[in-house]
Amino acid sequence: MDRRIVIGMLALLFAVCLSARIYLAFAQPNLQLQAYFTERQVEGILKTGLPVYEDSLSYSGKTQAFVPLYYYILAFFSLFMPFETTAKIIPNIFSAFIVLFSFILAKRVTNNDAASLLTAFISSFIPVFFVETFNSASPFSLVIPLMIFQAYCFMEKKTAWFTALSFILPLIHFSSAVLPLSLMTFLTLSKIEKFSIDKQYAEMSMFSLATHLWVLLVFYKDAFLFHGFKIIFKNIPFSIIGQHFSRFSIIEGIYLIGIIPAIYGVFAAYEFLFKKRNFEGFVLLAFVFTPAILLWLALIEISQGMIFLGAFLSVIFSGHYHALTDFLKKTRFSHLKYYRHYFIISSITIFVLTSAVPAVVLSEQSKSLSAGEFEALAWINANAPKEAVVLAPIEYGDAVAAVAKRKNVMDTNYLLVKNINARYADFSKMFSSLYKTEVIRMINKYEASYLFVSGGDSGRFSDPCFKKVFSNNNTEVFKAECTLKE
Amino acid sequence: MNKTMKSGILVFFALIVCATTLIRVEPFDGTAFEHEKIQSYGKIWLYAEDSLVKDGRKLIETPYDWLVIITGMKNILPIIFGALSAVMLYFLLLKLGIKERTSFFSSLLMILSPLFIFIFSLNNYYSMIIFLNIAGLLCRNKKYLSAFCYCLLAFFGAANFMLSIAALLIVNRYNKTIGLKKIIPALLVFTAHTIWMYLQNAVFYPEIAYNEQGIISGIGALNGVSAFFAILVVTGIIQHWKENKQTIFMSLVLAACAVFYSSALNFALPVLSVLAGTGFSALLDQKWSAPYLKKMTLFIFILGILFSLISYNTAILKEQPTEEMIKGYEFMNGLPKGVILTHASRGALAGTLSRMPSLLDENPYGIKNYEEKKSDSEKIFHTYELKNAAALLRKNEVKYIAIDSEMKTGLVWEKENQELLYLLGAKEYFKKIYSNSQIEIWLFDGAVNET
Repeated sequence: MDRRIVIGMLALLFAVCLSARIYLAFAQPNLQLQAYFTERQVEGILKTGLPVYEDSLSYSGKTQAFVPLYYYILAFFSLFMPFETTAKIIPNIFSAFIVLFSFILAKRVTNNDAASLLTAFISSFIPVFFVETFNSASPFSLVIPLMIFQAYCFMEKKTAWFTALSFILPLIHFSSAVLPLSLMTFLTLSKIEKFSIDKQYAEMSMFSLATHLWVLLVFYKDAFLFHGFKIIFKNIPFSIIGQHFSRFSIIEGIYLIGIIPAIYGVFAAYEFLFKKRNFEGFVLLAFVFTPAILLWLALIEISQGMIFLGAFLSVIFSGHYHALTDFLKKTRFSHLKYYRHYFIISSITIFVLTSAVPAVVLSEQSKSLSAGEFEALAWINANAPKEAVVLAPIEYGDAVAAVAKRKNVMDTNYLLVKNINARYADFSKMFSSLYKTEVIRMINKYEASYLFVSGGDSGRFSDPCFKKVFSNNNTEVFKAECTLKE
Repeated sequence: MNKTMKSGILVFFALIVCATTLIRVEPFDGTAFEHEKIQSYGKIWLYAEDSLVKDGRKLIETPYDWLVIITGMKNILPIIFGALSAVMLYFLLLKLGIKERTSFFSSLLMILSPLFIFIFSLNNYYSMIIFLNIAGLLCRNKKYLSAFCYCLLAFFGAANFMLSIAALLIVNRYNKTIGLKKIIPALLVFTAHTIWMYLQNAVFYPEIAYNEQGIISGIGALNGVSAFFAILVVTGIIQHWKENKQTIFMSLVLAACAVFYSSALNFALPVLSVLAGTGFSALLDQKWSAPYLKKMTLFIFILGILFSLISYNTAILKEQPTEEMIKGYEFMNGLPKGVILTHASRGALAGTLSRMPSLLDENPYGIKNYEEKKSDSEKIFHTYELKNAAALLRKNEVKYIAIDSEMKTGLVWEKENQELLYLLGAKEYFKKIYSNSQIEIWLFDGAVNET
């Protein structure tokens, strides 16, 4: 294919992906709920130069454990525009780079422009990656494209880039540890299959493992000491882990990854493992197997695991392109004029229907802070005492800290929290117990004075003990006024 | 660098890393106080009477305790054993035909491991056990001296003696010149000692209970190795698996025993250090395609090992007991005698510092009616019934209740005024006689309303 056409197509894909993302992000009134943790870290950096490691609002006061680079990058851009605008534009630019990196990786694997462009197109609309990153200021917007680029640097032995990324990636998000694990899987797979590889690949894998381990030990030292081996479960309450995995089905998984990359990716994996047996295939297989195993062992959150799987299944799909076109040659379609063009157009059409449309639909349905909820939190910020503790559903915890600027009872940062299962059990009782005394006892225990209720779930709080102090269309704020004496 | 200079470097590093005890007022692990009970008994015999737990018991004395009683150097002795063990390991490896550089790195990596600090900076008999193990192997040509080392090891209990023999078998598998005959007299001594202790009836054997959370120190284990050390061990295994399959397999089995018996890792440390040293030498020797990648990898490994050492030292400085807790217990020394109720994990500490018996400590062996006492103490901690609590306190002759901040924040209770904390408000029964930021001491008046 003409080089200029390829570059033009890639630029077009990049532009389409970026504009779709930015359009959908700005179509939502506020950010997705998980973005408010990022907002607090960026605010902290802009104010003091450091992220909020000693957090007085989360869990009414706790130490946070995370790696800071991503927040520094967003803080830099926030110097020039408001955080909300930064969060809607910059992560989407990062995410759109998946188009370019998937292309070069697929090109390295197939050496075919059409297959690589198709892969780039598929990567740009992986439903789960799209939904999780378009309006959430998530570190995954940077981690995934860089991991794909890192895989490319690994294959191409671009040691300078590989070295730099080995330091940068673990500083962006701890989940990038999937990369050295995948490289270790690759070495093991090669050993098992008696597939000889250049020594330099083992050296690069060792280096990547060492840097990741070192960075994570430095930044998560307290969490490692606090939780021990259990840190692999990230201190997530057992009932939450159970809920996530019991609700999850294979059909949902395929839908989140995209039907085409999921099905053809699996076919391609089979071909690489048993038929083609080439170096590129083994590397990509390792990148697919590792998150799959981590998911199977429930060692990684479903959405995160699906993002990794989706990203690398899309790339591995490129390896199946030849098999598909060869198959097509043997069919009656091959007698048609321009049958290849029909094939590509029909592939794109099917892909648009099965991946791009779900990505857009899921994005529109995704949970962001509504205008009413934002108004209620702003009311708390303006009217509640500074030391007040606000009880809100767990996913709103970070928004309580960021928008209302008040202490929460729980949020989704579970690391370094003592007795998390007991706390979550108490927390659940506050929203679900049939006994008023139990609810009040728990509210007293955690010294909550305000209750934030959204989505018309306020019936249980229509009681003299809870005074409604704010309400709008779908959100209410109550003040807890009763104390239970022993 | 000649061998003497290398030995000097090893001694220097061993002294530096074990200096932790010298900057602390008391040993960082509360269980070391159990040994102080024996050592403060003052008599060199096979067992000591423990009067610092209610109803008393007998604790076995070990050769280590005899040495402490004779020399009085409870903090210095482990460090001396540490320095000697490091140097002796170096010479042992040379004698076994391992390359000089690998021998040096193995000894150095052993010193730089958090487990080394744990063994050789704390008042505990493992410092002497490891020393005797290495000495027994090093003196292979002096069979009487070697047999004497193993005879001394027979006094440290069945598990430790068996693990010492396991370590000997591993070395024997690697190098057949290390004979097994030397353990015959030791087996006789062990049998006689065990029978004698059994005849003494319910003799309690003091065992160090660690803050066990695994074998990697970076993720919470007090007696573990660093993650980078573990990677070097794996590298060493990969390098030498083909030539030394059986030895490596036996070493890994010994290390894996730590899952069930944490002290097994102490015995595996020298062997693992050899594997780590081999791994490190291999990293140094191998030609890499990208030399700067090799330099950076080595640099990260060195940084990682040093980092885990520093973070370990910082972590143990935060370990119990704090200075305030020690002050609280020492305050009781001199008050009228009575039983102390506190959490079992503080029992040995409370008893040793206050010189009064505690109701329970962490080690159940030898304590009369242990289950009943444990159940009573749980009931006292978790009741809102004042009369029940008072009756149980009287039954167990408790006079003092020691409550520290950790007990109030999760170890026993989760909030203020919960259960016994609420009952302490009954002034006719309880009187606070001491408090600081970390600990409260309450006096229980058992004579009130006894009818």
